[in-house]
Amino acid sequence: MSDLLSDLDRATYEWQLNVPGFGEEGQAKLRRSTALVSRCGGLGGPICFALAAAGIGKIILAHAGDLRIDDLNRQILMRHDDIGSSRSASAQATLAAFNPAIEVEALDENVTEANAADLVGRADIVFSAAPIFEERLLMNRECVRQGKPLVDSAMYNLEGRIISIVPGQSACLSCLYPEIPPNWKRRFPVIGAVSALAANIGAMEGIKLLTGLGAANTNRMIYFDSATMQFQTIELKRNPGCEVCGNIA
Amino acid sequence: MEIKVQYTGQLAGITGAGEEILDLPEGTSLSALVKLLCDRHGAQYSDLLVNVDGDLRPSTMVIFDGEQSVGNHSTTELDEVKTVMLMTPIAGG
Repeated sequence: MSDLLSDLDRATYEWQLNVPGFGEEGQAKLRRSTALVSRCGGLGGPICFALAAAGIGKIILAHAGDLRIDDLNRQILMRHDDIGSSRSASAQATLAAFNPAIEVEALDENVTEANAADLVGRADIVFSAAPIFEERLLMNRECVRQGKPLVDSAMYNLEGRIISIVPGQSACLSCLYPEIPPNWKRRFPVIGAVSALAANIGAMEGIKLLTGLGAANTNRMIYFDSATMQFQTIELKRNPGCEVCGNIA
Repeated sequence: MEIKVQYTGQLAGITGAGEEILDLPEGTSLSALVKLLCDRHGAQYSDLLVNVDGDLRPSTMVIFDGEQSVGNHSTTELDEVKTVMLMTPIAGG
C-alpha cells in the first residue's frame, strides 16, 4: 500500500506521516479517495482546504453562482478579485495553487435531484455543507441509498454541530430531521472562524472515516458553542421509522 | 424539582440566553414544560418549537442529559432528568 506514495508525497506529508495510526497506509488511503463537497462557502471551503492539505486524491466541489462581497467574511477559498466570478472556479484555483498534487473537479452547479446520484456515486465520502436542508437531505438520501459515508457540518451564530453518518450503522440526517424544517432561513448570522471550526472538525471526522484513524463519532453529534468554548457530544439514536434508512440493517 | 433547560441556535437567539433553570412540580411532563416555555417566550419561539397543535415539530431534537430522546416523548415525565436541551435544526455555513 505504501508504494502508492511518491517521494514528493513523502516530502509533502512528512509531518503527518508521523501521526501514530496514520502513517503511509493512511496517507495512501487518502490519496486513493475522492470527496464530494457540497458548496465551498464558509463550511465547505475550509473542509476543502483541510482535505487538500491532508492530501486527499480528488475533491469534487459543487457550488453554483458567482462570488459576492458579503461572502468574503467566511468563504476563505475565494479572493476579493474574484467578486462577480464563479465561486467554484475561484475555489478550484485556490486549491490548485495550494496543493497541485490533488485533483479538483469544480462544478458551477449545486447538488440537485438531477445530479445527486451521479455525484455521490463518484465519491468515497460526502461532505454536506449547504445552507439549505433540501440539499442536505437529498445528499443524505443518496448516501444512504449508495452506502456512502456522509459528514454533515452546520453552524448558526456562534454554535456548530457535526454529525458523521455511516448508513445502516448510525442515525442518518432524516432520522433527526424527518421533514424540511419550515422555519430555517437561508440568511443566518455567521462569523467565519465559527464556520471554519465546524468545518475542520467535520474534515477530521471524514479523514478518520476514510483512513480508519482513531474513532469516528458515528451515532454522536459533536456540538459546540464558541461563546463559551464548551463542547458536548450528544448520543444519537436511529429512528426505526425513518423513511430513508429505517429499512436498512 | 429543578431542571436546566438549554437552548441552541435560533431558540438561544430569541431567549437571549443559552440556558435557564426552572423549578417545576414533580411529575411535570415534557409537553407541559414545552407549553410553559412557549407561553413564557412568545410566538416566535413557539413557532420554531411546536406546530399549530402545540406538538413539538419533528425536526426539534430533545436531549435528556446528553442523550437524544426519540419517539413520542411528549408525556415523558422529567423527574429523573437534570438537563433538557432543545435543539432546532441548523444548516448554515
